[in-house]
Amino acid sequence: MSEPILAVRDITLAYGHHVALHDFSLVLERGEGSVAIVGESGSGKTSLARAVLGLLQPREGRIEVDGADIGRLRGSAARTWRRRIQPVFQDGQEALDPRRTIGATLGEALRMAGTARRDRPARIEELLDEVDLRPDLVRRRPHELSGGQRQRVAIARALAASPDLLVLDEPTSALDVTVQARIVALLERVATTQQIQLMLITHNIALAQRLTRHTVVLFNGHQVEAGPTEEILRAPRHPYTRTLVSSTPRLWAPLPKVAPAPPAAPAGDGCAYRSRCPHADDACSVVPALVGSPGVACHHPLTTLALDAAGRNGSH
Amino acid sequence: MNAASPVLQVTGLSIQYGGRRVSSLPDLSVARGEVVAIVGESGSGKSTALTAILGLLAETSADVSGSVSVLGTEVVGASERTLRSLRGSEMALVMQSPQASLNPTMRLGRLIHRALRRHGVGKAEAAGRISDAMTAVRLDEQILDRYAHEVSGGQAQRFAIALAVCLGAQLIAADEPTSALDATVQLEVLTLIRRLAEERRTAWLVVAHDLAMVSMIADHVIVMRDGEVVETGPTRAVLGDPTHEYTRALLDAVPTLPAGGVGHV
Repeated sequence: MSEPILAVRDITLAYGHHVALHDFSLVLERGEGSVAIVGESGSGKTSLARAVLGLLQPREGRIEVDGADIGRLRGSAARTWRRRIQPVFQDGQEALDPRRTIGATLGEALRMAGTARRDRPARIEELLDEVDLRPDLVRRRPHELSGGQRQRVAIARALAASPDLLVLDEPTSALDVTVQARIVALLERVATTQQIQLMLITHNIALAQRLTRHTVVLFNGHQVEAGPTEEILRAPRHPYTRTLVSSTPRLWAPLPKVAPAPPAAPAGDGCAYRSRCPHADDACSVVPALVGSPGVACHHPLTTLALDAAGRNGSH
Repeated sequence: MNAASPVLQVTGLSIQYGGRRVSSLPDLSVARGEVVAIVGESGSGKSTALTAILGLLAETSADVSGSVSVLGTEVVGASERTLRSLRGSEMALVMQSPQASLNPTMRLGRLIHRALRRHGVGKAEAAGRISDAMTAVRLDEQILDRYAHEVSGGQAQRFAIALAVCLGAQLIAADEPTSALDATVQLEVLTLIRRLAEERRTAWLVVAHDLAMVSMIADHVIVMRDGEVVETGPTRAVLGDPTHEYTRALLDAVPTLPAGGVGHV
């Protein structure tokens, strides 16, 4: 059996004294679909993306790609890993070199991926076609393109390396809604036709539903729930996940009577969600472990029955 | 719409830059207790229209024509003095990024006291007004000892709304008031907007791009594209049965969760 495409093993990520992600693990098997890392600001989701891309060294634990610890890879093995995991960031404006033409940007990506010089022009044309951009855009620079076009170029650049995994950090949140829908459709298409798996970092749980098979929910640096995306959306078991799912605006949904949320408890002081949680009690002064499959890290996980009784959207 | 005594009445508003029309709003009124939403994408002219309504467009660069009446006072062509008397006490603006819009060098308490003093509210009255406004937005008064960067995004946005409430603003304009906030906090702010409209009869003009959010709070919707209004009417009609192709495209683009909702098996 082949090694997982990505295995994150018990990592802790920190900036100085601030721990951004506690003791986190995740295994994504090859061909097992895409994964969403869902959370709000401060959840640790972007730090995780940075670590997987090798931009942040874990304080503890390790990250393996095809069984090899990326922290120990050197030379050509490191280049291979970097080629296979490609990032797409939120804002194509910042992610693309403003002085380079689109053709030069894609040409450079192909050079890094080892494509022969004589093959590059044809491959650039193919890449632009894959992301539905006209071939004459090669002579343009990023500021001459719309936000949606720039994001297509960023995706084309990632595809130039023939990656196995795309790490997408809020790939649509800087875009207009109708443009977002087209980028999502494009990501769906490339993931299917090119057998690329996605690691989607987002605050938008509806986007996770559209693009991924698995979801991990983070809160304040802790993994609070993990499992099949459909399952988590249909029957969230962690009180935080439930709040997150029910807070997503939906057409014609009634406004709930929401009490203001107090700030999260400081890390290390029991369950991270304790101070906001309606079910918190003495047991919650101990950090709950992620248990079960699908997994939930909660001393009082919600059952489907309790959800039915409490669910405000039950009649939809 | 309630034509009796709208808080805001816009008629034939047109904004041009260098002879090119960037935003046009033929007719818009917001009554007391009403939430009106302008929706559209970037370049639709929605934020430009909002800025002109508040009298915040620099006359040197923009050419504004038509009429904007706030509680009977004309905004278009008004003197800075007239605008100053309208701002805060009659109309207020809540921006997308609350932390960026609040003075970072002042504690929130000092900031709110100073705003009240500028509007001629005495010390004795100020305390009562602040406590009333903080209750209205469900914020603990302890927060007044903090700086803007020391509170959460949701708290800062509720504070910005409290500031408008305590100055007595009858029209609150909000430019994407929830789009910079975390999902779980967005609904709190939406609930607050709706509640202030109902309980305090505040008139709201909200610029937004999220149609799901608009469907939850707005009474009327104006859909704009490329500087023009493409569709307008009661929210139920416009979003429930859109007649314009562009409104339908916007609706189709809304990311939706599976039917059934939370916990429904």
